[in-house]
Formats: sequence, structure tokens, C-alpha cells
Amino acid sequence: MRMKSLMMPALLLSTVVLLAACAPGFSVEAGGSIAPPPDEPGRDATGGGGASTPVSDEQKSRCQSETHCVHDQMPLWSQADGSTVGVLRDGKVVIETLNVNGAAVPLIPYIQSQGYSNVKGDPGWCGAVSFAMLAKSWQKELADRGESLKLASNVSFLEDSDPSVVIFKTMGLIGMRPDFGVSAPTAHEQALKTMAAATGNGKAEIAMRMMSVSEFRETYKRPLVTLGIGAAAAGGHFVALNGTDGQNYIVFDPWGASYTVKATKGTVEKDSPLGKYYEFSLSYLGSGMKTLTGVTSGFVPTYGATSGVLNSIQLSGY
Amino acid sequence: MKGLTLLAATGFILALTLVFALRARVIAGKDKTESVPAAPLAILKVPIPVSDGVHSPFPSPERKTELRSQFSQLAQENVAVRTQYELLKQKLPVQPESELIAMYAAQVLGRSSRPEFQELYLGLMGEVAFESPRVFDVLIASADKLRQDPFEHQVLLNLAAELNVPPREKVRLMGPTLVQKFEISAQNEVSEQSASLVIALIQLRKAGVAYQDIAPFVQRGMEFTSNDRRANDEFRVRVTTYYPDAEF
Repeated sequence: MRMKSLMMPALLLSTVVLLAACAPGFSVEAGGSIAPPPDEPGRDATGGGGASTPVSDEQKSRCQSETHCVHDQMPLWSQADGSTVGVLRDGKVVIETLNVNGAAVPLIPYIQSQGYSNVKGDPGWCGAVSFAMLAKSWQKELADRGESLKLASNVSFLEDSDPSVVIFKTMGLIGMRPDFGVSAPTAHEQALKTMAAATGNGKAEIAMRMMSVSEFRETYKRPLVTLGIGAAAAGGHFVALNGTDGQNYIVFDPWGASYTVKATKGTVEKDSPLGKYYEFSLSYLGSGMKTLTGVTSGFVPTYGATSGVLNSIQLSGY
Repeated sequence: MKGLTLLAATGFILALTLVFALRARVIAGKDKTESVPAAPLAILKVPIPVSDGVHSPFPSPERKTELRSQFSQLAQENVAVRTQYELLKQKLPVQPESELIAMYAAQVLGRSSRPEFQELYLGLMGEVAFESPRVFDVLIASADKLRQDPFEHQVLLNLAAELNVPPREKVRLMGPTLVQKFEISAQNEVSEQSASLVIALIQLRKAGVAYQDIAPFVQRGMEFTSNDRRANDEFRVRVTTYYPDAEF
């Protein structure tokens, strides 16, 4: 009987670890516990309050205005790059390879040429493409400040101007197998640490919460962020946070799309079997789908209507 | 306590074993499909003539049926997908391209890294690419309706970016988003309609549209805020963020 009661937590723990391996969304610390959000309850995720660290004029000047604060050099790439489609040309159907990222060789054929001939299509590269958009933005901002990554061997590839090269090598940086296509938030955090170490500047962290718009602008001085929207059963999704516009966020979805989303703070649960957690919803403007977050109680941060755990993985102060 | 730790460790190892077993199965499955070698890059880039007919059966009827079956599965699993699809089907004219537009909008609410979703998305984009001129016509005819809802407005902009039409045609769909009063409150909140301005600028820049092609829209947009200095300044900031060469 005692044996049985001890088996249950062990099996639960192993289930959590298994989910972390196959979908974004779970932040599991070395000890196996869910990382608590680094913030006190009650903070408004939609903006207002929160900022407490004074910022210099130089830091503030990194935002474009009082209400617009984006990574303006962040590329908007698509994981569909290199897929084949049929189109009409002069009355004939022709099969063409999508070249939407502007690479010399589109993503899928490029990856095939790098020893992955078994890759027939995207098996789930959202984590890699989102991270690559973030990392390329970082490199461009460093270059604007006169900093070069040429001597940082593990991230020097970011200086390459070809999107396919950058995305493929980013897969290596975040430990993703191109033919398997899975990444975890913790892998993004580790990669951000590698980037911070390469320049000696910046702090990488992971949180199961959404920072407020004011935090993005002030406390974190326009951090670089990927958002892992969990949902182990649904497969999860990663997007890159491009910045803030008024009270909203702008996300770069790795399917080549960009949307305005708003974050709403939910409730704090203290007696969950998974420990403390926060509920946030990320929803599109005007879709009316936000109300669906109330359908399932508790653990329901959303992006659109994809339920699951939200992980914000960020590099600040770089 | 030691026993618990041991059991936890055993559970962890079991989980890892299962992960590797599943991966091995996936890889083994892929190996089976590798008997046909990947096409060389050069071949992939060469257009393949299929038919002389303008109404060629492409994508095939079977593929179209399969795509709709995949979408139906997603809609069954996700009430938001289903609801958005039905909303747009009611709003758009009754013709085949409207279904593609409704499917495109609805799938945004059900995105994931599942292989089933990748297949659905790529199939959908394949059909959108093929039907681009007709999808474009339906979008032009329905744009005013779609711009009334901020989510559908942004779907319109992102779908316009995906269409296989020249950049100047895309300006016809995205440019009007710039011709509206930019609204921002004293609390620094941007109105839901005005939020789409940035999405339009992002996609116009990505499509390679030159500033001179959007300049008439920008000038007309500026006129809406000529009596509101702050809104006018914020409008300019957004334009120059994505088009640094903009002249006012």
C-alpha cells in the first residue's frame, strides 16, 4: 500500500518530465519542481505598475516613442520556407519552391543539403525559427553598437546574412534535431545564456508569467523574448515577441505572420498539484475568443485559444 | 525519503526510455520513406509543367478533400477554430475561395507544433498559393467588412502577405489600413483599429514594397490626425520605424 502511494508521485513526476521533452510550456528545475514565477501576485500584466528601476535617457531612447517599443530589425521568417506549392504561370500549373525568407536556398532544401536528406518538410521548427528571429535581431542590434560576434565561435554564425543558414545553425544552438523538430523553453534559456556569455553582457531567465508592457519598456529595457505557449496534448507553439505597441504586444509568429495580442492577468492558485502558478491569457484583439480562457479552470494561459502553460524566456540588459 | 527519491529516479529513467523509444520509432518510420532519394536542389527550383488548362485539377480533388478533412478535425477539437470559421463563412460571399479564407483565419487560433497541424497548414498554403488571384479578388471585395474586426483585419493583412501576387497588388489590400485616424489615449492606449497600422507596415516592408508606393496612403493617414499633434507624432514614429526613408 505504502509502495503504491509512493509510486504515484514518481509517475506524476516522470510524466511532467516526459511532457517537457515533447512540447514547449513546462519549466522544470533541476530538482524536478515547477519554477515559480519571479513576481508577486496581483501585478497587472496588461501594463501599468510594476516598473520600479529608474532608467537612463540612453536606455529609454531604445524605444521608438512613449508608446511604441519594438525590435525594429527583427526579421519575420517562416518555417514554411522551402515547401513546394503549385501555381499558375501562363496558363500552366508549375510546382515552385516557396522562398519567403529571401535565402539563397530556401529552408527545407538547405537543411536537406546539410546532411538531412530525410527531412521532407517541417516537423515542428517553430522553436528554432522563433529563436532565430530573436537571435538575428540581437546580432543586428549589437552590430549597430559596433560589436562583432566574429570571435564568439558558438554564435558567430548569426553574422551570416542568409536566413536558412541562421535558422539551421540556430537549431544546433538550441539543441534541436532538424529531422525531429522539438525544443523546450529550458533549451532557449540555455541558448540565451550562451549568447550573454559570448558578449559578457545580459541576463537570461525563464518565467511562467507574462511581463507587463511597462516592464518590457522600463525594467527590462526592451528584452529579447520568445514565448513558449505550452499545451502538451496540443503540441504547443513558440513565437517571438517583437515588442509593445500601446498597451499591447506584437508577436512574430514563425509561420511568417505578425499579430497584436493583449495579455490579461488571471488568478493565483496556491493548492495546485503542480505547485504555485499564475494564470494569464494572451489573446488576439477583437477575436472574442478570449472568453474561452474561462472554459477550463486554472492552468490556462492562452495564445489565441491554445490552452496550456506560458513560458517567457528572455534576454535583458545585453 | 530515500525510497521516494529512488522511485522518482526510476520514473525519470522510465520516461526517458519511453522518449528514446518513441524517437527511435519515428526515425525508423522516416528511414522507411527514405528509399526514394531526395530531389537534388536544382530540380526543386525548376518549374514542372503539369497542364495547359487554366482550370487544371491542382491541387487534386483528393488533396482538397484531405485538407478539408484535416481542417474539420482541427475544428472539432478546437471550439475557437470552429467558431471563427463559421463566423467568416457567414461574412464572406458564397464561393470556394471564401472557404479558404475562413480556414486560414480559423487555423490561426489552433496553431501548434503537431505534425498534423504542419500538414494542414502547408496544404492550406499550397491551395492559397494556387488560388491566389481569386482569393485576392474575394479579399478586395470583402476587405471593408474584414477591417471592422481587429482580428479579422490582421488576418487580412497576413493573408495578403502570403498571396502569390505582385507587391503592388498587396498594397491595394494593405494600404487602406494606413488611411485611418490613428487613435491613442492619454493613458497611452492604442485603439484596437489603430493597432493594425503596425501589422500593415511590418508586412508591407516584408513584401518589399517601396515607400513611394505607400506614400499616398501615409499622407492621407496623416491628414486624419492633422489636428492632433500627439497622435500625428505617434503615427509618424510607426511609419519611420519600418520605413526610415519616409518623408513627410
